[in-house]
Amino acid sequence: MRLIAVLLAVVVAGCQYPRDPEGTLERVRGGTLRVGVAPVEPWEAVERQLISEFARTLDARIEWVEGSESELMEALAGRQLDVVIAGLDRASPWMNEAALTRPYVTVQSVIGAPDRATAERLSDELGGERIAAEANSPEAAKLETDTDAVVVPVDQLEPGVAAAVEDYLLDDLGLVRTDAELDEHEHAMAVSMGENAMLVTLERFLLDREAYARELLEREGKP
Amino acid sequence: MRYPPGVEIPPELDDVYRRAVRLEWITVAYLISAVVAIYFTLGSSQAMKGAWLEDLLSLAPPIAFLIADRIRYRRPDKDFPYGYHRALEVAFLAGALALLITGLYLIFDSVLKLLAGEHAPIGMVELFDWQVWLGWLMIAALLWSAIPVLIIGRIKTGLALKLHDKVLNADAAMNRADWMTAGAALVGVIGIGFGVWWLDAAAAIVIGADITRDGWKYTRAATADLVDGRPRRLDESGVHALVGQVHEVVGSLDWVEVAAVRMRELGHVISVSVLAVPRAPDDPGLLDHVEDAVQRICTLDWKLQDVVVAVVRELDEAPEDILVRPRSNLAQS
Repeated sequence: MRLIAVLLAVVVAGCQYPRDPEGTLERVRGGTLRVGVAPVEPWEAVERQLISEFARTLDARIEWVEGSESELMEALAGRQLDVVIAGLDRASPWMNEAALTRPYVTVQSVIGAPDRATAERLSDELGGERIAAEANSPEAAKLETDTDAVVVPVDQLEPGVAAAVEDYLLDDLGLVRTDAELDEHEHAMAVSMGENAMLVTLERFLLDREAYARELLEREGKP
Repeated sequence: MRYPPGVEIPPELDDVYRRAVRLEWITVAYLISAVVAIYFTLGSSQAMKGAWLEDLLSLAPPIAFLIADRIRYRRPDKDFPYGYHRALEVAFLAGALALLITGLYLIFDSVLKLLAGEHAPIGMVELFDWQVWLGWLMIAALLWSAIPVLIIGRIKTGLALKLHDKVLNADAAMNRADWMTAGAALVGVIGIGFGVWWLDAAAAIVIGADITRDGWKYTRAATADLVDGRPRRLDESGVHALVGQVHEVVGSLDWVEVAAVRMRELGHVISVSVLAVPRAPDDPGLLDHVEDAVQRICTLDWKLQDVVVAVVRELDEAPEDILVRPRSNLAQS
């Protein structure tokens, strides 16, 4: 009987495996989740929404801390924050300072065409084609360096004009996706290094909401 | 007389040798699967990195053995008049050095991480639609890398003894030690799971120490072979038994006044050269005596090859330890 009790205790304790070396998850549950947030559109809105819902599952209230990405990461590494949301990419240079979650949404930079016929043409060959891109954006940079297309920098992307955009904007602009992919970004959040219970709990939450995250992004993302 | 380098493997050991070759192919295939399995579950764990490096490096001895298998049978030619027995030793030295350096690197790297207080993050992964903590996959990969190799290692030890093959023996020893590495890595990963962050780097240091120890041992052994040290036992634990036996044979040659016996390893065979001062330099039967001596040494064991007995007038300044002075047994003859 006692053996069963011991086994049961192990199993119950095993519910929280892996554990946090610094006990972040236990502290946050029913307490306060300290979230660092960087003002990056559209990610701020998307990630604020996701994290608010995450905090609700933990019965935690949120303390928002705004700052630049590097300030927030420094605070996170020093365990002054529990989560940082800043539109982070899995390929970001923070790998050694913080633990990044699995990507909860993957965004591709693609070239969108106004109609199917143009899409087929652009899929085959970009040389000499005039492609719009938001001025001074990473899409414009990729287009410039990786393709032979003629970059047309614009302040505001117009619907129905062939453009290099992130894929969640295609619908808003009424564009058809071509096979020309410029780049891919896997978006993730950051938690303190080694706080594996926290990491795993947040990852589980996010992995279950990939479609929802995509929906939020399409709603919040504006050209 | 036949030109010295005799058979590489005696016919009665052919089966054993073929089994060894087959086993090494299995080892390579299996190790690659373990290396891939660990690579995909590596994460940020320092101990996993150690286990991975060790598995990767344990590929060196079997590959060396299989490469040597292709060239060791070549007959001596004008470029390599002693034959290709030692082809193996080059590979052996390279593998041993790689082990040594990797072990030291791992210790250094892990100590730094431990001092910096670096906590390893291990998160979730998604396999198709199945979400699982990466730590569980790490544990599975480690068990896969540890258990079969333990058995393969045991079989190889037996074969290595029969073949007197150092590379095979080093390989077997590394395989047997692999369970230790995997065990240490398991402790590290399970430790991370319980929130004991330092266990990971600590386990990696233990693994690094083990790799370094192997590397040091085999680097020394390989170097000793390359500078023609006297034959040692497979596990480097002492002088090879054949050294004494050859000394005995030379000691029983009653036509010899004094002789210097030099033995060295050529890969997995042993070469013998005897410089003998005859009692009666003008004896017309001297050539027969020499041929008989070569014959007697050769028949001691198949490993004794490239046996040369040279007749000299005197032996000045030879180290006393390698000299043999047969007692004159005139009464017997």
